[in-house]
Amino acid sequence: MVALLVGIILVCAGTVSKLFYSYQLDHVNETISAISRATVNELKTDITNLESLFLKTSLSFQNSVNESRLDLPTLKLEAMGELEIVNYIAWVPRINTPTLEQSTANNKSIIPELRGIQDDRTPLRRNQQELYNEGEWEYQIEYKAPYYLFIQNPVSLKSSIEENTDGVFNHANQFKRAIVRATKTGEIVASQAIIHTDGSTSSSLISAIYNRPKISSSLKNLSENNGLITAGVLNLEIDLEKMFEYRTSNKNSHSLGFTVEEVNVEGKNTLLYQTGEHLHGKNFTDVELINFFGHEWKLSVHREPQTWAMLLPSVMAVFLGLIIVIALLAWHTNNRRFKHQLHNRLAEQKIEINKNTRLLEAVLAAAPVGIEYIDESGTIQLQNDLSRLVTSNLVSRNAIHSESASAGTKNGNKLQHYQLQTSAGEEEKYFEFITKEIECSSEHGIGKVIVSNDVTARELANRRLEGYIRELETINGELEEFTYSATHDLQEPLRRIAAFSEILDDQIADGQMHDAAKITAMLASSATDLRQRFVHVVNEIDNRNRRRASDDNLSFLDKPVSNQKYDQ
Amino acid sequence: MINTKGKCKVQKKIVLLLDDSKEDTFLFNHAATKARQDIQVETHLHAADLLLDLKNKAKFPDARLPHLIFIDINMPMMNGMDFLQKFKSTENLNCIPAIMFSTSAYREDIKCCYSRGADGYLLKPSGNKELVEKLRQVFSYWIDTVESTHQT
Repeated sequence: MVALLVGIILVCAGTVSKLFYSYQLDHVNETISAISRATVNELKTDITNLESLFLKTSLSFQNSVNESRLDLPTLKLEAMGELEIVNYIAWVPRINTPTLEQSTANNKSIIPELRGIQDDRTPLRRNQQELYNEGEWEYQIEYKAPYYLFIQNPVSLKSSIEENTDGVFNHANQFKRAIVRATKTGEIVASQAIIHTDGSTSSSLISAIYNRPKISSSLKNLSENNGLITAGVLNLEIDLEKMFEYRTSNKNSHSLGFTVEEVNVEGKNTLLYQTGEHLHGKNFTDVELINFFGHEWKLSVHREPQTWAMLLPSVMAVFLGLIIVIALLAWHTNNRRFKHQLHNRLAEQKIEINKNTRLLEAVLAAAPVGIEYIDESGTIQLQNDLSRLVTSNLVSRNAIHSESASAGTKNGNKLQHYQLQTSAGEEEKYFEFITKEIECSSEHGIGKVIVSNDVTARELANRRLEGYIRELETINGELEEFTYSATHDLQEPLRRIAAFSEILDDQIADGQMHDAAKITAMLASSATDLRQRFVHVVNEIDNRNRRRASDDNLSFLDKPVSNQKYDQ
Repeated sequence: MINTKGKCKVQKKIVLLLDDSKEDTFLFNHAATKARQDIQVETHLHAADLLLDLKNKAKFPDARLPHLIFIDINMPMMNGMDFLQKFKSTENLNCIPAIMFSTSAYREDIKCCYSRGADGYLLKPSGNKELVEKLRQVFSYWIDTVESTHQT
């Protein structure tokens, strides 16, 4: 819109100026052509210098903007190429420095001050000269330095401002070099133009715009005085403002503002522009010194904290803290409850254990056998009276039955038979120890429960029984032996008698009786032998029967059995 | 060695009997002579004496050793089994067939005898004819059927 407006204004101004200054057309043409011819070459060389300068400037500006963490639109430097000045205006007003200083000393806001300047600068218009050319026209004001030259270049620039780098310019017949700064929306382009002054009636003198302290004011003043030039000047400022406005709106932060101050030569800063509300007098967080066209500008960007964004971490922290507190509280209560439950359960278990202990003691006391519990370290943990009696009187544990002592494992129980010899040397007693290995509840060791059982009666009975068995075996053996010998002894003579009888019978039948007497004698001796043997056997049987009868008078169990005979 | 004095040119084979009973000796002699004519029965009553005698004879290679020996088991002092063991463990004697001659029909006795090197076990039969028949078979086997170490 601004560009359109500027365009319209330019056109209008151009038309008005054309009509107004038509009578000076020839003179303007002459001047312009002279300037153009002379300065084209120099202009070309200077373009490159300008480009590099602006590249530097814009880069520094871009860096500063980047450092202020604003999302800036890209600053571009447009190379101008060969500048063709089609239409330009040179306007060289005189700057009334004291007036400006006076007006800005109030240091309130820029716009009213500038307007104030405008009023003061009204006499300046009286001194201005206007030159026309066909298609290109120049507006020139003859005045003392500094001068301002504005060139309108409809081809590549919307507006342009020339700056004289020399600062103070001499009047006569010199080539003047100036840097033209033009602004477009969102972009800064640069160009330069060389204005040649021929030192004629209206010698055109060019001075830099920015090499004086009150450049902005001058610009403003100019813009107020001449519509066409104003467009260019205003564009500069508006664009800057727009840039920042754009950034501000882009950042969605109405509190963002910026201030442009010019650093004065005397070290006194002058407020040139300010946006945002109530920024004046506040601290500006990002302050950058920007070098524009060899002149320092102080750009301060202020950004107020965004409350919600600022509050978010603290809110989060509070919320987190609350959660932690709640969790701690919950943990604490849970812990207490758990402890309470644990305590109750422990108490219940203690009662249960006491009950069980008493029960166990009663069972142990009433047990007919000795019971002791030895833990993994060999310490007796539990023992009843009977077991205590056994172990205290135990002098030596002799294994009675070797086979049961060594490998009497039955259902995981070790069965061991021991002979108990009491210290008093009293009657022998026999005990059976049943050992069961159990895993200790407390540690990973293995303890054992030993049950000692008095098996004296059983043991003695067993021994007696074994004695009887052995006796029976011997009796049976004897009996067998006797039967064998008896039958054999009785058989022998019978067989002989039979044989002799047969021989005798044969001899009688044959009639050969030459050794009959001998046979008969042997027959007789055999018969005698038979009788003797028979008597012997009969006597033997009789003796055995008598002995058996005398043995049977004793009771089977009461029969004493000597230990040394059967214990082997 | 050839017996030039005897009627028979063929030398009689010596059959030895060890038995402590005179009656049995008589019976054996009677039955043996009846069973076979070409044998000469020698009887001994004492085992120890016989063993000593045989051992002495065995030292001489030309000595006349028995062709067969019958041993009774039940004897006083040294019984038949002990004699058998010593007999069979003596060099030059252990090749003589030894046949046990006893009334004992106990399996243990028979086993023991065979394990000690007996070549046969003959039960004393109750009848004389029976004895003659048995001896005939025994002689037939040991003298005629099988080869002996004796020189013919």
